[in-house]
Amino acid sequence: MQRCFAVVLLYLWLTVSCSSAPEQKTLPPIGSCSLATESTTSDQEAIGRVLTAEGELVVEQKIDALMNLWRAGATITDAKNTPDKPDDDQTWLDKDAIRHRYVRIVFPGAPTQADPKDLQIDISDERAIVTATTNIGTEISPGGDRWVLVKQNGCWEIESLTYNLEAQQR
Amino acid sequence: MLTESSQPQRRSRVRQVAVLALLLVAVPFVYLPQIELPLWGQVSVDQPNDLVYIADLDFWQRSNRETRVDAVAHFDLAHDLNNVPLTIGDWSGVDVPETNQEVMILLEPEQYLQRLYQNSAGQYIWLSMIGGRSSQPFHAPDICYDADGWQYNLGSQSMGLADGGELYGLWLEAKKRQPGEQIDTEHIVFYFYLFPNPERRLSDGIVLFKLTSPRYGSVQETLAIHRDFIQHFFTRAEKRNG
Repeated sequence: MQRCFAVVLLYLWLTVSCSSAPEQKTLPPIGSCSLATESTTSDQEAIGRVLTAEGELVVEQKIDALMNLWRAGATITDAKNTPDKPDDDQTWLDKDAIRHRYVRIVFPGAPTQADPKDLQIDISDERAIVTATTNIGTEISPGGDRWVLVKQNGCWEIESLTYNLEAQQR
Repeated sequence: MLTESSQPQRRSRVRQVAVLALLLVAVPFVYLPQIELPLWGQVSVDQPNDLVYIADLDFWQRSNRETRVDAVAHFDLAHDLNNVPLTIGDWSGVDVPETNQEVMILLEPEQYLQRLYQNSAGQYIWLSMIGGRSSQPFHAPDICYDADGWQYNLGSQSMGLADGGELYGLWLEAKKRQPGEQIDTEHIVFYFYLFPNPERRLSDGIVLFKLTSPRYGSVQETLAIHRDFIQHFFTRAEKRNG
């Protein structure tokens, strides 16, 4: 009986342990981890690289790589040059909407240059607020962009962008 | 009659049988997920069916929201979109021809259908279907609203279908104060694109499926009404990638 028990036990153990694990989809690296950054890169450098990459990928119109910089639940808000009046803001909620904005609004303009300048990075714990000068083609708006990035699992991911923050000239 | 030495042996056997029974019970739980497809008779993605379409948020590159959907009517350019049912579920529709000729001149659609559906609760939804074989007819709705001076927010929503799966679309919450009015006019728009096959060639034709209604309660409450409408036309969805 004991020999029989041992054989059945071995059979079941082999059967169960050799069965293939359920298929698991590996998610692509997100944020700074989707870029070729070295492990010694500082937080400031990693954040700068994410925002520089965002501009480069816009010019190259590489939508998948671009979307990998953003975290789930991210938003983009157009402050409409009225930073004190949120009522008139226009918001793209979550990554599907952000993707749509890139594809249907940003890419058709075919920007040849889109890189943030004068980055002022304020890091608090795992969260960074970055104020930047908008620099898309001929458009230069000092302090017009505010990026929020969050560090998760060692990767800096874009949580939000608010643009057109510079008040309208009267 | 049991001797003193036979009792521990019996207890040991009972334990062995119990362990074996537990393992035997566990085996189906290990294997069931792998044999789920044949068991439930799931339809293969490649199975030919002319009421199966590919739906996506955009017609450019595939998004990770691309789904294969089962429909109850033809939503492709090989068929007349006018044959899409006018009465379905609790909804009854009437055709409302587009009177603005500029729309036709600008978009040059191969097929264009505009209908006003209403349910027994008095709620109404506009169904617009635009079909074409180039990108010209497919202006993103938010661009048109923006050009006409509407303020909007944009997001995405998954619509659960009756036979399973989620159909994804983009929604738009748009508002505008019309001249002479005291309150904003508000629209909730929900839309997605339909392709007749997974290749998604422009030459095979694309159909934009767009719903527009007033806001009934919150955006989510309004989208629930849109979902009720959509569930009558699309029964099942299966995610294709991502």
